[in-house]
Amino acid sequence: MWTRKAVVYVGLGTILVLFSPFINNLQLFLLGTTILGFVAVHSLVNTRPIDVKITRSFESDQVFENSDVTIDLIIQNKGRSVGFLEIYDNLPSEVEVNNGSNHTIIRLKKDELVVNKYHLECRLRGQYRLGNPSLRIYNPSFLFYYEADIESKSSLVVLPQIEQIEGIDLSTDFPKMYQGAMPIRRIGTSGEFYGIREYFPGDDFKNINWRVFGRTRKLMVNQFEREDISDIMFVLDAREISGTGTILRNPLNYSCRAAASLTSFFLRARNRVGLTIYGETVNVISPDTGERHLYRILTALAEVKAGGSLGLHTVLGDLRNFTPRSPVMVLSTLENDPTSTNALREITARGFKLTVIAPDTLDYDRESRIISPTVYFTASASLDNKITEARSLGARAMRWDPENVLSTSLAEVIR
Amino acid sequence: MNTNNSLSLMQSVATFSLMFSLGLAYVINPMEDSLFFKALDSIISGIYGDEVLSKLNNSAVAGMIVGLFSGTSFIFLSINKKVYDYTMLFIFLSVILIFVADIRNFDAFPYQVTQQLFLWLWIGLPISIGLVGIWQDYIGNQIVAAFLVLVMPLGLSGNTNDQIYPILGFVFSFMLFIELSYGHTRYSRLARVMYYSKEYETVLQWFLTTLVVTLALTTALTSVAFLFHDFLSELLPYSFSNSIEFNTIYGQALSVLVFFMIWAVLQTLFSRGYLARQVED
Repeated sequence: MWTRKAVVYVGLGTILVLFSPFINNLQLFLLGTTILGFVAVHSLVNTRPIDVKITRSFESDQVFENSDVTIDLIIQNKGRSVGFLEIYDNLPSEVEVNNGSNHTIIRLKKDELVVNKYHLECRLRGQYRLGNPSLRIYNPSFLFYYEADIESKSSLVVLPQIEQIEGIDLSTDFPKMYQGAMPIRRIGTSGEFYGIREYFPGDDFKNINWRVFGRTRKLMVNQFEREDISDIMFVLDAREISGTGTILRNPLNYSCRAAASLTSFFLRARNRVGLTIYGETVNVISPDTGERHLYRILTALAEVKAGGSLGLHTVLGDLRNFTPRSPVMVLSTLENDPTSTNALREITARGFKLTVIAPDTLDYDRESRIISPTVYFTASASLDNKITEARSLGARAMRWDPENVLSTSLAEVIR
Repeated sequence: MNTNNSLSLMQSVATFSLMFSLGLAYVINPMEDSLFFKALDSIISGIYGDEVLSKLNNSAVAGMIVGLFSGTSFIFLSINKKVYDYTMLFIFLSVILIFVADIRNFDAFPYQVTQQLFLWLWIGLPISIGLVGIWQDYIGNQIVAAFLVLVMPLGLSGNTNDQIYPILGFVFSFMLFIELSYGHTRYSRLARVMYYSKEYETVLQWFLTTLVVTLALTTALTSVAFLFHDFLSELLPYSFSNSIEFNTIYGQALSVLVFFMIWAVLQTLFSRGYLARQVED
């Protein structure tokens, strides 16, 4: 391709060559000829096709939110020597280069291999495609250029951030035995220490705390936490309205983080966890356990995008197959969902132990002027009504300010 | 040599090339023949009713030195906006005062000195404009300077093969000025994007090396283009090759254009893309 400079040079050269005879000026004539000659010579410099292979390597193709990924862009020249090679690795807008650059200009000798290193900051969950890299070759005087895209795509999955959750009781009153264990901060027979109390006749001798007896001359027995197991189903609201706010701060993102944290917490205790996502369609991941299942759920959460307007009632059919009287946790603001009241009533009527977590980004939206004060007060009042309604149905419901730690907020609603 | 040194070298060589090209342009075209100065002389003579310009010293070297000084001063003044504004105001007021003093026949100030300075400033104008273009990366200034270098010395008397060496020197230095000043603008911008990396330095060195080589090749190609005229004269029928039109600069111009046209056709025919398309068809 010709650049504007080349066009100007050819135009000027031709004009000088044609015009100079009129004033019998050899100086301008020679200059015109030289300019044309310069363009002719440069049409042969760094304009032939090249053979460059570009690959991308990084430590892990699955990372958690707010973590860095180091990317090595390996550029291998398999053809002629290239003097000016500009490479721009196309990246999705959700990831940010925080060290190094995805844009480089290099000189590549024959068979040379160059590695361009840069660091990506992944601030938002999602499944991303890196590439293809765009190439541009200029000849040295910027007279001609050639642009191409090289086939080299890589996928990167950014999983939702997991928050450590400790010591909250979200279990059912009807635990399933032998399928998993979940500490529920009640006195039981697990290996986890709960406290000590005075000895009463009939207590097992092996539970007597002899160290305390030696110190106080009183018989005291150790108490241990009771462990129950449960099937837990998360219901995630991925309707279009849940994506309202900024790219980073919206109810859907916070719901995904909460779901990821709680899933990790329950699976660690060998419970079975399932996930139902509703929005454009209803996707169900059946309850299961184990590390593999955790990554299955995390990947599903990474891929969730806000869309559609299906109501909460659409998940009722899938909940029918779920273990009766098990905990169901709804992660939604229930905003603009006329079916939510009936759906919540139905869930509690079936005996599921319902918890509603409503990520509240209204304060942030108002401070950032995304919504007006009027909209804020209306939305806030509506959310309060939904929470009250859920509580009146016997559910544990909370407005969760994502600025606060999830486990602390949950502990308040559970106590 | 690091990136900054290479870029500074480009600027310095571009500055010297600009000065050389202007100097050689006045060697090739005497100032008395310059249409530009003739027009200026007519205007000033009309205003003053006196041959002011012909009484003054019209040394090209002095003009170039004044141009170099004014251009450099302008670059340094631009560093501080306040100083620049006050200096410009001071110069403007001085010019107005000198002009008023001259009209009111107040001879306390020797305005002949300022007239001389203005003339030299006028001669060195391409250099002062070009300097700003080179050192502050203004492409517009580079284009205006190049245009003035070509146009200001231009006269109607023409020039011949007797002046071939100054002409070749002019062409070489003019091309160096254009290429290095424009190259500096582009490469320095990219250097900032590349954080003046070591890898980028190799690209810059490649540019400088290639520029020297391609200028040498261009000289060879230009010679071939000129020889093509002789080749054509042998190839064409006698009546054509012996005609007056063919043996003047018009004929040479046409030969040169035919040469580059043949070059373009051959390059298109032998380019890989063209051959590939023929195979596909």
